[in-house]
Amino acid sequence: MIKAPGSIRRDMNQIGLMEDPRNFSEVCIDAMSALVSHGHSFNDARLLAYYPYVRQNPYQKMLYASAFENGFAVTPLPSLDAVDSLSDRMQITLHYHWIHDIFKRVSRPREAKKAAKAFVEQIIRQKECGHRILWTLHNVLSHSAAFTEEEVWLRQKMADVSDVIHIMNPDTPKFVQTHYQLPASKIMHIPHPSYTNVYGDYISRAQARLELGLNEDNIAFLCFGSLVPYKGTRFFIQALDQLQERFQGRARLIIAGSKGKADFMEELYHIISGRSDIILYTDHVDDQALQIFFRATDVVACPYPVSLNSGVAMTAATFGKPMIVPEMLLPSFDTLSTGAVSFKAGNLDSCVHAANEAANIALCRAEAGGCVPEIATWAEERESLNVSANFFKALREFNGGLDVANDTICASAAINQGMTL
Amino acid sequence: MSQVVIDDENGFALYQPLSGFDQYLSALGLFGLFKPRRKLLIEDQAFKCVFVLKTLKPQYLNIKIATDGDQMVREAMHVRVKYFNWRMREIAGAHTFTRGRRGSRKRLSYFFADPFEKVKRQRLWLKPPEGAKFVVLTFERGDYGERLGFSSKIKLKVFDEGAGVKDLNTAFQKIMVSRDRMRMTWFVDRLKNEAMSYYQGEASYQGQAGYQGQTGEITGQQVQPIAMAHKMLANMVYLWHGVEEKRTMMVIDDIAQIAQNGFTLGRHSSNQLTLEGADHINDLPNDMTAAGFEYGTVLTPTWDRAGLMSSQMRLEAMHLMRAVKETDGRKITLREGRQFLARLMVAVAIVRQTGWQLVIDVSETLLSEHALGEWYRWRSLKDWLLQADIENIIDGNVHFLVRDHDQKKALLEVAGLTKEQINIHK
Repeated sequence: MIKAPGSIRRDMNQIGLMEDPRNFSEVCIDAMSALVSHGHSFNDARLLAYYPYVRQNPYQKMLYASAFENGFAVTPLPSLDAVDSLSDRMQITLHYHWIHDIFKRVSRPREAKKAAKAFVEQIIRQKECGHRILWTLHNVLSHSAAFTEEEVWLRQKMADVSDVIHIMNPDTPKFVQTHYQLPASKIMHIPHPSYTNVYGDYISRAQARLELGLNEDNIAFLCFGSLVPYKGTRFFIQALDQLQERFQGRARLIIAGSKGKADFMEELYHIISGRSDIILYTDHVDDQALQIFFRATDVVACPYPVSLNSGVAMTAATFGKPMIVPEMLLPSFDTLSTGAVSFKAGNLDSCVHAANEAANIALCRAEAGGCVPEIATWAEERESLNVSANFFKALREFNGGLDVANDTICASAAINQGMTL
Repeated sequence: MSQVVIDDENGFALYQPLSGFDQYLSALGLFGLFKPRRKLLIEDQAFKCVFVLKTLKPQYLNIKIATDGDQMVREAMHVRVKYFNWRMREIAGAHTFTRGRRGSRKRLSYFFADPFEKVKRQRLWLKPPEGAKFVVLTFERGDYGERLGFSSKIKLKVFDEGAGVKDLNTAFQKIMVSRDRMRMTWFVDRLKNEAMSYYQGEASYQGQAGYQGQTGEITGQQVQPIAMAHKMLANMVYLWHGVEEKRTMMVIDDIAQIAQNGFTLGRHSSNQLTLEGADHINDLPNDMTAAGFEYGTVLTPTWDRAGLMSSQMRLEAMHLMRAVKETDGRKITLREGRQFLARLMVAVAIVRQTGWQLVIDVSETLLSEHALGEWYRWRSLKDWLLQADIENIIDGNVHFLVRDHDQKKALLEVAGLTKEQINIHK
């Protein structure tokens, strides 16, 4: 009988195609065996379980890409209480990502408070059982935070309880400090990986532009990602009016992403129905189709009002495209010499200026294939295997209780110095 | 099914589900035969009516669809239209006049449901094809999330083409809120004719279609038909996500952009040639006295007046480039002929990028009217030259050929042109 590899089985399990008959404890035992079979000593082998598992975003797969090579076996945590079934002698690293997920099923502040409290108690229990708590801080607050007060409380507690806090934007502590404090001694800075070798990338710029109906003389801007109010799409449409004056009507805006809530979609349809300079694609864009949008475009717009990290901006870099980003996102690109142009969040003139500058970079520096070499090279250095290796090395140092010279392990610096830590 | 009356405070009690007898009639295609005024609570099953067609003129059926939700519901119901001849054989591929969104769904007409208190009339349009004697309409719900109530007098009415509002502005305001796709389509056609009966740049019109006008509201009483059409098309795109309407809007904006900013070949308009022939420019002999290429007609085999002008002009530029190369010269002489204005812009764009010579023979065209596509028209070439940013588009390589001194004098009124650039036919 042919068996699917473990990771595929898990994926299949997650999407409901196949039921994994093993419980979490058995998966952990299998993982330890696999690590030892892979050549790691039993003492060095580490397990990492992450929560929540997000299927459509490849971020987690990228971050954990070189787990086995670095002595870690990684598996999704099927539920928060699944850890309780582990024996006392099996201690693992529990990696939490988007913790605001616990508010998904609550509708009142009181329920949110209760959920947050229960979650923190669970984390404390897990810690008391000897598990290590790792938290990746993706945002200051969740994008559509409905229970701000409760979420701030939850994040502060999480910062207090966690053993290690993983940040991708080096200025994260500064940006979150108005809401909550991050203990400096727990911070581990590993940058967001690029999407090099992750998404399909074999279609030419000319073919991609043909498919989207763009002419050679069009200056194409792309707003990519799920169509939700907090992504700043409406804001950038306003900027487009001014950009058209600059580009004599030749600018085009491509908006591509999964449909959001009906009322927002209705508003969006209303705004753009009279615009033939906007191309709207309202569907999930799969890993192979994504290249069409990024290859065809000249500038990628991330017109977000608030953003600590952005997968879209990293995808832009992967395809060698100049991008406009809010000022708070810029520190993530501080080592990129050209291509990331920042604007003041909510300031239209600043956004237009940035878009104009980014377009100039595209017009002046892009090669025939539409790629700006400096940007693509920068992204290649942040390929997921490299970033993942640095992530696990840094984590092992924290886990192993080694002396850390600085409060922050700055792996991004290591990346710039030849990818060694 | 029993006649269950829905007890509901918002008035849905008036709507009743299909009875067993209704379903029996529907199976025979006779629904509505005995009781044409109906208020139905729409359930999952479709219902069918057959009509005998007494005429092939456009006909319609008024319907209203209510929902107990508080928002308008898109595509709440659809109607499938099939035409049959007297032998009850379906007429395949009949254009139903009730245009759907795209492709295979063309035989479907889509309808909105309105909140109960604001239900508005909608029309199902029919235009029977030649030979049609019967039409079968199948009503089906498209949205399964909301409760729907359907009301209609199930009887076809023949469209009176003479009826309706004549004044353009009043008709525009009325049709804009009608959600009647067919009337909107007709109105856009009317606007196209109106647009072609006026000349660009004349004082009695306001507004300018194009990217600057795309988000603007039309509030004035005297608005350019092009701006009206743009607004109407935008409304149609919003209501039906219509591809055809989006395309027409693109065509209008495309011409507006060319009219406003001129035509360029590439985005690095001043220093980069991206078309075929660019690599061979330096191979051409530098003989300015050569006859050059006589450019008297469109070189593109099929020129679609209703198509995207910029795309066709780009293709035309490629043909022209190749044609000039074949004459071994660096000179183009533009003569009177089809699509004069478009060809002029193409030739100018090429000359600006190559440094070739361009002679524009305006002896027959200076004072005659010129159209660009289906929406834009100028009283004369001189008018277009006066409006265009001539200094930016015509340089020292461009010369004009006129018939006599009067024409020369008229042409000199165009700012930016010098005497040296204008020669009289010998």
